[in-house]
Amino acid sequence: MMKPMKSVKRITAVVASAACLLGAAACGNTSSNDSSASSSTSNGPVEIEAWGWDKNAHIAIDKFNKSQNEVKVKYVLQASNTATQQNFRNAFEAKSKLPDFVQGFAPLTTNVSNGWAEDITDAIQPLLPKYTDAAKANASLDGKYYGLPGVADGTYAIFNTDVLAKYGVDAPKTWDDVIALGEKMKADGGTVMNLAGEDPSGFMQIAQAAGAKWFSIDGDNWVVNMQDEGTDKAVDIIQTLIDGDMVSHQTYQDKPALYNYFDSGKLGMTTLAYWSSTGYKTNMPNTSGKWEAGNFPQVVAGKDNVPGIISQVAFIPKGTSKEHQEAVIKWINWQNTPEGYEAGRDPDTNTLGVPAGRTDKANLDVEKYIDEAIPDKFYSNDDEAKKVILNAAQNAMGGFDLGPDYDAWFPELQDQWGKAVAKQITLKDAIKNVQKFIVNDLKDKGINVKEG
Amino acid sequence: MADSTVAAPSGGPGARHVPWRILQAAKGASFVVPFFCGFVFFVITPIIMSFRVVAYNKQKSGLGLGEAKETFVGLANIVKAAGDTTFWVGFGRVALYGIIMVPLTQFLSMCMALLIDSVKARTAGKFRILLLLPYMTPGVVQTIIWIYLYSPTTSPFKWTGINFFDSNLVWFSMGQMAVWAGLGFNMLIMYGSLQSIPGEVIEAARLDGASEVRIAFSIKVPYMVSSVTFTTLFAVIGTLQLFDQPYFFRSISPQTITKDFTPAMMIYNQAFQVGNINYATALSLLLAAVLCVASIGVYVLQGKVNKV
Repeated sequence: MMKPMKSVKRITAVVASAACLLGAAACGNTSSNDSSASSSTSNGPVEIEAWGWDKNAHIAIDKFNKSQNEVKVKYVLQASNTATQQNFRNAFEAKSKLPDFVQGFAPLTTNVSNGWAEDITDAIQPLLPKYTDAAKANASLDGKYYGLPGVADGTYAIFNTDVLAKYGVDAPKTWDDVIALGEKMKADGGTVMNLAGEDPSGFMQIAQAAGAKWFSIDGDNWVVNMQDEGTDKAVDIIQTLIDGDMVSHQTYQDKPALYNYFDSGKLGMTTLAYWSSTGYKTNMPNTSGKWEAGNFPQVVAGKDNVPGIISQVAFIPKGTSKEHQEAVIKWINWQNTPEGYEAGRDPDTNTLGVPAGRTDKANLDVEKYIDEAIPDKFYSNDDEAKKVILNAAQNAMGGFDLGPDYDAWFPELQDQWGKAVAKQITLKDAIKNVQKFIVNDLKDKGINVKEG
Repeated sequence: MADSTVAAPSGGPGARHVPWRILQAAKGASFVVPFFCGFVFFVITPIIMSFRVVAYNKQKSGLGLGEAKETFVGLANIVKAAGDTTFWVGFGRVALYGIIMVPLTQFLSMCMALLIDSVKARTAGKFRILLLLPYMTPGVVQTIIWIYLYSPTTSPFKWTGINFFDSNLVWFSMGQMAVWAGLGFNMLIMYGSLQSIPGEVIEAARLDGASEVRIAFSIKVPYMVSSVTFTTLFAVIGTLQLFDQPYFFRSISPQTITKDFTPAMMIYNQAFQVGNINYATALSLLLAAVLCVASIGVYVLQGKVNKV
């Protein structure tokens, strides 16, 4: 049996050791954000740290590290998008060492507004020729680059060919055509499209395509304008669909019910990005092969605008040294070469995304990747679908600024949108309420704002 | 009889003896150390820190690009929170919900505990585990289970034609989830108190001809008062902090469950979406004050019930 005094000493020792360990752990994180401190020796490669939640990223990074000896990337895998944001916020607030690159988890202006993103205008120059103007617009604010270029995967539409044949119409080209089809379908209990009560993104896309610009900078002021001509057009379209009972309200939270309705033949069309089609193909067996791809319906006749609102922009954290910024750009530049892009192929599914927002300078075979992304026997005409997806990938719009308080106002938009979809208020009033909320929120935060 | 002192192991002439009672007390205290450390680190420290946080505000200027500056505002956040009608309307909602849900859950838990107490020990054991399963189920799994139970497409109750996702049925659907999750825990605590009833008391009642129902109402229920108070206290605290169920339904019925629907949801929104930690802390302190008053109320009520 252990002697009592000895046990007291041991307990004391264990507690003391634990305290020391905790202290050591705490001290271990107190280094500054001077990224040059983690550089290797002056003769070796520049070592950079990247955070993200792509579980396969290390495969491409290993290839990059082996392909050259100037930059060495260390990838720190995060559990999820949310975890990345939480861990980054914690490190930033605690003034701990930050990574040199973070996969995008928030809109560009949010990253800048929170003081997270570094101005990388100088370092990013070698990368810019490989991106479209839209992709570059998504990475810049007030003339400076704070993020890595990129576009949202452009949105297009798919139409149920059985429905089109039943009503003897061609696939709608404009929103007026969509409304006309909706009126015909309504008589038979069908709905032309789905507007989920929790998801205002479809409305935002129509507004963007119509030329709306909700946030802009005028000198030292933010200008918030949700009452502009573009937004009004989007409001009119959506309000007509709601008032005319031409839309369903299936929630995206209940996917089985959603797919079931989409596959029932009662839905005329939906808008989507290319990657959604795989899920539709798997879960909509009855209508598979009956979906005709078409460009996003025109708000203004003759203008094939492709909406693409991006709310997650990758960035280089504040305080990253110039040397490390350039190292990150070298790495991203390599990803935009045929070899680098191909290195990102998922080893489990052998798939790779469609590279959107790139110019010819990137030398990527976009059509090859679109071919791979089209699920077998889902579209009624694969060649047409390929053209539509190519158009979406190359012409997705950019520069739709979400303002400095997106995290605050988007939940308010969801609240107001839900009420508008449920016919409790009009969409026009809902949007007015959101604008009022934004203005008050910015004023509360001490930010200069005026209404457009 | 044990010795009252024990020689120190390195004892030699003049070595000090540790009194047995102190040694025992130290051993006992050592078991509490992990909890105590956690309590100090995760409860006491944040409370102390919150008093500093609530006295400051983060303010930006110009376009608001870059880090905010911290300014001392004294009690301004508390005053603003105290006059925030959205916050108090949220309290009104959870209070109404609690008036129905707390007694209902307690009543059902009591019935379950009495039923399980009336069967053989082996059967009781099986039901105890079965009823406790929802409580042990992680929140994420609970959400998935209920999505499928409520879904108009996959629900086993779809034949009823009831749409549990309908905005008019949201309260009912949330209540059902809460009862399901809380029943087992309450039942277990109440069942534990029933186990402390001396067997001879029950036996004497039976010999006197008391029916099982009479035994339940006249002997078992009075024995359960303290455990019911305990579970009621937890239920009141849980209800005032209602978050999981409305948060789940928000994505399905945002026109009804707004971002500030309950006090806890408003605090979450302010802290993690609006990004105003200072104001969120002020709201949290108010919520804690209300919880404190509610807890005292439950204890006062218990005292009156005990006197009766």
